[in-house]
Amino acid sequence: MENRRMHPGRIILALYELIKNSAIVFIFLFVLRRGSDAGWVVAGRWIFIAAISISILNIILSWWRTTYRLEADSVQIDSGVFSRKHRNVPFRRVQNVNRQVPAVLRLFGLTSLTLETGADGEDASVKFPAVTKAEAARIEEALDGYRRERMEAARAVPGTESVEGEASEIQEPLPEKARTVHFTAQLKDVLKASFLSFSFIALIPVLATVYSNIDDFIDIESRAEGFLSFLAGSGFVMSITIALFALAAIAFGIIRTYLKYGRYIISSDDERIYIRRGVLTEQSLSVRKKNVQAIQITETPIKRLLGLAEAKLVTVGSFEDNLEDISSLYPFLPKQRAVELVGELLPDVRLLDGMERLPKAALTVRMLRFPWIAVIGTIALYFWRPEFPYVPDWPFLAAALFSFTYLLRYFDYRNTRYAIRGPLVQFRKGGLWRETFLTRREKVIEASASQSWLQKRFGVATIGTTNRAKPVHVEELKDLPGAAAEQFDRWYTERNPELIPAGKEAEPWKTLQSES
Amino acid sequence: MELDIREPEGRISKKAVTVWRLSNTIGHGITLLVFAGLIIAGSRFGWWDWAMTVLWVFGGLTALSAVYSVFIEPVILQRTWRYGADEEFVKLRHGVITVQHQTVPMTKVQYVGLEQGPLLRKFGLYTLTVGTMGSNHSIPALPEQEAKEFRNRIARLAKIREEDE
Repeated sequence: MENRRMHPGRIILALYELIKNSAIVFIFLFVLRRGSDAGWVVAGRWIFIAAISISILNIILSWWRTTYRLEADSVQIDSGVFSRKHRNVPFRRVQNVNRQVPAVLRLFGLTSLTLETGADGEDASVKFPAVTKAEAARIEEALDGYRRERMEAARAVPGTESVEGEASEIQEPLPEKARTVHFTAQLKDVLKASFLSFSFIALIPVLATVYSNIDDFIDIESRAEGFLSFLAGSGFVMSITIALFALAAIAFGIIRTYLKYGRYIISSDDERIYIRRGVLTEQSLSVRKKNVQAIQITETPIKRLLGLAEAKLVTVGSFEDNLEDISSLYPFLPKQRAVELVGELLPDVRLLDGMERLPKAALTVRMLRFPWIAVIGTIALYFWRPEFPYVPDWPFLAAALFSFTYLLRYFDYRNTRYAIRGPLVQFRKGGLWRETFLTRREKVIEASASQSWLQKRFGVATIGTTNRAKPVHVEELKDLPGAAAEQFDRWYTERNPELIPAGKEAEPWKTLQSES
Repeated sequence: MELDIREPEGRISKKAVTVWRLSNTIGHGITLLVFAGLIIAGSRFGWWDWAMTVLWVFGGLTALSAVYSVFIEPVILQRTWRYGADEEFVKLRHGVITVQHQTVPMTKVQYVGLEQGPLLRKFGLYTLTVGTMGSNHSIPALPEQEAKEFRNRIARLAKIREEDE
């Protein structure tokens, strides 16, 4: 298989980013100080030109010197202008695939593609910053082809190998699999999202940034003061201004939410789940159903009041900035719909109803636990004695702190539920924020049960699960009956995952070596 | 009511008590010396009253915890530590006030290692570390023979891989 380069669009993308990052310096040196011939400005201009030239050269060279090659079971990447770096990323390490398509790339019909692995550090992901859509599809097909081949190899009788079959399967594009669309964001969803995420407040920091940026160059402070006194002069003008500002904030919020959550589509085929969103910048995630480690459903207090919930897939790959919430199945769905969606996407996972409640003894244990935060807070209040207008004296604050602590404990006790059934375990907990966690036994990489001295007295215990994610996802459920903790321990030791015999992994390497 | 979870058989070395006593004595001794130094300096140079109160309170707490962790904790901890491994799981159980049971599937073990600090070396003991994808667990104070056998056993059993990786 031949070495390939990224699409030349990579250069355009990098240049665009370079312009974006250096624009402020450019404006400063060449526009605002255009008349100046002070030594440092002149030197600055020359340094700027030199730096830009080097960057452009570097962009072109590093595009030229970066090549990748798809093998039967891995992707090989060579990069580096002077010191060369070779990377070999086996496909079996790839957990999920995501795409981030900024508007610039979309103009050229290109896409970026990132293969996420479970590894740590800078080699955790392989990024193809600019490839054509067909090439991105080819890379994904290579992944799928490898996986299918391995699954079949596991099923087939050991000893009967078909090396020919493997190779041809990867080169030919596989037939398009039927995708089912499960959810498409409608206008009402976007409106709901924009109000619930309080996106209209975001106008304030944006304005503040703009203001302070302009203020660096032009002294608008004095002008603004004049404007403010003009406003304060008339109640009518003032209220119109506030109304206009509110409208602007809402419009801004809706547009911002629309750009991020607009065209939100969740779909799936037999093998994978696809989530895409975004209007200008397109983001998408494709994750194998088998690689979903757990499901998390979060209900914030407001969402609980409105009967909404956010379901999230816990997956292994880490996501770059702006992408961390891409594994969410639309954050503003009615709870019932979110639960159904999980069932539709993952046939082997079903949210369990009729979960068990905690025993009365759990409430006693929880009330008896030492309230560290409240006690330390009270001590701090005692010494600090805050004196602000409208703030009550410290004993009231301390009393409020204590009642809040105990109220939350009670709510948490009321909300907590658990179920251990078949291959699934499900926890729900939380005082005001409520969270449901669901995973399969095979996905739990560590289980623990513990019992403190106090818990022992009341016959309750704590259980915990650890799931793969980055960083690992640790979930803990406190104060369930001792018998249930014992049941959990037995449940976990009956774990029975599909195994790959030792030595099986090494085989693809033999074929690789003979090829090259 | 104690949890009825079948616990592993392996016990750690009795010498662990001495090792922990020594290391805790050294650790707490240094902390206590620092506190004593500060208190002496404070009374010589007339520091604020509240600072002295804080020093006395924390110094006193350290002294109490020193008594606990030198005389009481090592004995109970050594007595309650259990470890073991079958074909499928590494199991650990330990804890004085809170008893912890941990179950780690063999297939999820990424590495096993032995470690030995100066104190442990003096007593011919090893700390065995089992690392998984997410965390690592240590079994403290194993005699050399047992430590090496257990390490090799886990290393052999952990070769098997799961489909999902």
